[in-house]
Amino acid sequence: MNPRKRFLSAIMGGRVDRPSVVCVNQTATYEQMNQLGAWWPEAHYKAASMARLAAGALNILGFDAVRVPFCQTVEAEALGVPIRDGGRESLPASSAHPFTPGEHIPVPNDILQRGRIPVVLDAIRILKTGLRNEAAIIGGVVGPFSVAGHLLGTDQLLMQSFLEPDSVKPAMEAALETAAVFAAAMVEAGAEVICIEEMAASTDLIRPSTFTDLVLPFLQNLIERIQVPTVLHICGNTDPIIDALIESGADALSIDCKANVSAALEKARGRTTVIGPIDTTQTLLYGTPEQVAASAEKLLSEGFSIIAPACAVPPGTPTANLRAMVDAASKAKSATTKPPTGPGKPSTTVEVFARYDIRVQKGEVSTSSGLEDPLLARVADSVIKGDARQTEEAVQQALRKYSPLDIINLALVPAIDKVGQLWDQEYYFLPQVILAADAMQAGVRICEQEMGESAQKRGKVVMHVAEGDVHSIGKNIVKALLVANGFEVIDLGIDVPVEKVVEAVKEHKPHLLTGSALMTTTMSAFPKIARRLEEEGIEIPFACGGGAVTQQFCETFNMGIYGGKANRAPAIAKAAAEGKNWRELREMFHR
Amino acid sequence: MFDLSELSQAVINGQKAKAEELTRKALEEGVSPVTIINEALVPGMAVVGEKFKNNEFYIPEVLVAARAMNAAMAIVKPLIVGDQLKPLGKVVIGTVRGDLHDIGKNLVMMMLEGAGFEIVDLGVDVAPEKFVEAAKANSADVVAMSALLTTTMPAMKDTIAALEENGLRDKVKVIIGGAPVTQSYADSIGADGYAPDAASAVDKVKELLAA
Repeated sequence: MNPRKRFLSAIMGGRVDRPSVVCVNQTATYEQMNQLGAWWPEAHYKAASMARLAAGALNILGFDAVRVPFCQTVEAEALGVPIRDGGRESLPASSAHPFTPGEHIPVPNDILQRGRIPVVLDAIRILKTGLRNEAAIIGGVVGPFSVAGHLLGTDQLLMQSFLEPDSVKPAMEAALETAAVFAAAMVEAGAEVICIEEMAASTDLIRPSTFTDLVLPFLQNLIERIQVPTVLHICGNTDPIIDALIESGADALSIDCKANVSAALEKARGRTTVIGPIDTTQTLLYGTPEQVAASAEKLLSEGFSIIAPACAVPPGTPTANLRAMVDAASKAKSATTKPPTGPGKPSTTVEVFARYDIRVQKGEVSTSSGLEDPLLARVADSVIKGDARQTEEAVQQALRKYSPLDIINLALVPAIDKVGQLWDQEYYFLPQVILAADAMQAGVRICEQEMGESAQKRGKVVMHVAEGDVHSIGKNIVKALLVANGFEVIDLGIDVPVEKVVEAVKEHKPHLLTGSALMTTTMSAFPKIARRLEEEGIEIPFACGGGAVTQQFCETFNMGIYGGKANRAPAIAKAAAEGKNWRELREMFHR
Repeated sequence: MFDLSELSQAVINGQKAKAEELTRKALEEGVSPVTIINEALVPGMAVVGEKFKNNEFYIPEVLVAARAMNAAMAIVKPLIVGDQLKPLGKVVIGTVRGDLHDIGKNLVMMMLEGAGFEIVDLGVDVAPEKFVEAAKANSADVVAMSALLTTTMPAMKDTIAALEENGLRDKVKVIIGGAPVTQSYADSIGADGYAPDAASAVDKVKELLAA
């Protein structure tokens, strides 16, 4: 059963092949950051980085869902609360509380454009495309009471919630509106579950009657307005308010180990799902995988169909401890309609992907290059496997018999073509593509060194990723293909300002300019580049590609050519180098 | 004799204005500032602490009571001459470097003050050096640290190391607390004490200083 389906079924109390493991709060850890090349604080502010790091929950931890954002300040920031960055190791926090109890707080009409809300929405779009429905996407919103804490200051919130509850309602109303609008936008962007974090309503902080009288109505209202399954998360000892939590209408409750979780499970039976919590500090952060497994097994034996860390994963948590949860769940017997999947504990990133090689095991999809010559086959298979080191070794071996150009054309290019096919077949996902592209580039680099400068260049191409966009895999694959086909490539990198692109075209006078954009927000740079080039009297084919780009879009500005699939790039570059102008290229390549 | 139990009750109920009024009245009637503190404010906060331990009071009630106590304190403290009021001890308290959460720290601070300790509040995001300086400058008996995040907890270890480097470690008792903090964490970093909440923090500090 695919992870996404498992979680979505479990959250609604349905059939699963084995218990689901997720985290409904933040999942980023330093180990994952280093492995993925996506770190805080950048990952809080750039959608691509946020998505990449969040996807670690699937690709590295083996969870059934991914979740954004990492912090709990997005709504507050959008409403005007100053936020202090937490640097590489920590989360942003509110640094001041600009509103007073009783004060009406307006929710701006353009709230969805404020602060980092657009970043989170874009990250969800990227995950929706990139994950190919392998994992569920959880959008996190902070509950009205907790956001009110940022707006008013938690001490004011707590005191007034006791002394004068009506005075905190304006802040809660603004927070409720924001959360509802944000959640709806997240769902539209591709989120399938919304998790509402209401930490400040914990009985560690407020008395149970305050929760029931003041907080619950707001939560019920919010949950009613969300069209997808919801999880309500509250830490602390929730025993005194468990009935109220069940009445919130949430489809699942994420509670703390401090609560009597077994009792909660019983009480909620048939009414809402209770997620079994594993202690985050003692067990996950400071414990051993064996201790984690023991906690998980205990929960599973009690019948929890979903287990998760009790709260946000501390960023210092070792991956091994988090994976121990998944291993325990994989081994657990549960009501099944399909045989359990999943082998033991993979130790390298490449082996992690083997976990998803279900179709290969059944002989449906082949990842073999199918090349006859063993030396070339070894090169190609190493690329397809995404093993850069092995690719380099294989290329060195192959150079004894073949010329660098042959290795490129007969092994490396077919290998990346095969990767493209596996992507189309929805068998390879983003991580495999990333690794394969890196491996191919490693191979091409060695061949280039061998060829030296003697290889005659067929033409010159200037490449860039749009201003504000950091996605480079697509560009890198195209670049490798162009280099492999004998073109000189000037790579301007990512997030390249419009002016810099224009200057580079003026300086290098290439045959072809390419631009790549994954997000609709960044592809708007391309018409600007075209206009600037026209102003400078330059006419040059400008091939654009990337997830957001369509042929229709390319036709809205002069010089625009739709790149389409990466493997079209050499043909387009060849035609451009032969002197075809952009109108002729459109004739040739547009449908 | 002025009935101080009414003032105690005003503190317990979190009635700030009434507490201030009764304090002024008591002073007018000749009750000494020290007596007001020791026989009204301190016992009042002790009751608050008990109720908190018994889950009769939650944090809001404690915050409100502490606010009333602080208001009364603000009136009597300036009137205390010289050595009349001997604090049970001097406590330097703060939330560690990188952490901005202060409710827990504020509660502990107010409960300690209510129990008769003198408090030096360093606020939030307090670097180890700052704890050391303050402990030195104030001849502190106790250094109390709070953290809400697992990412900032390590600063507690750094602060203890800084105290050692400055030859202060055996001159103070170190007590730590905060949601992710545990007894075993306290043991592992060599803290003298750990308390799970503000009320038990007061007991723990008294225990540490009696030893």
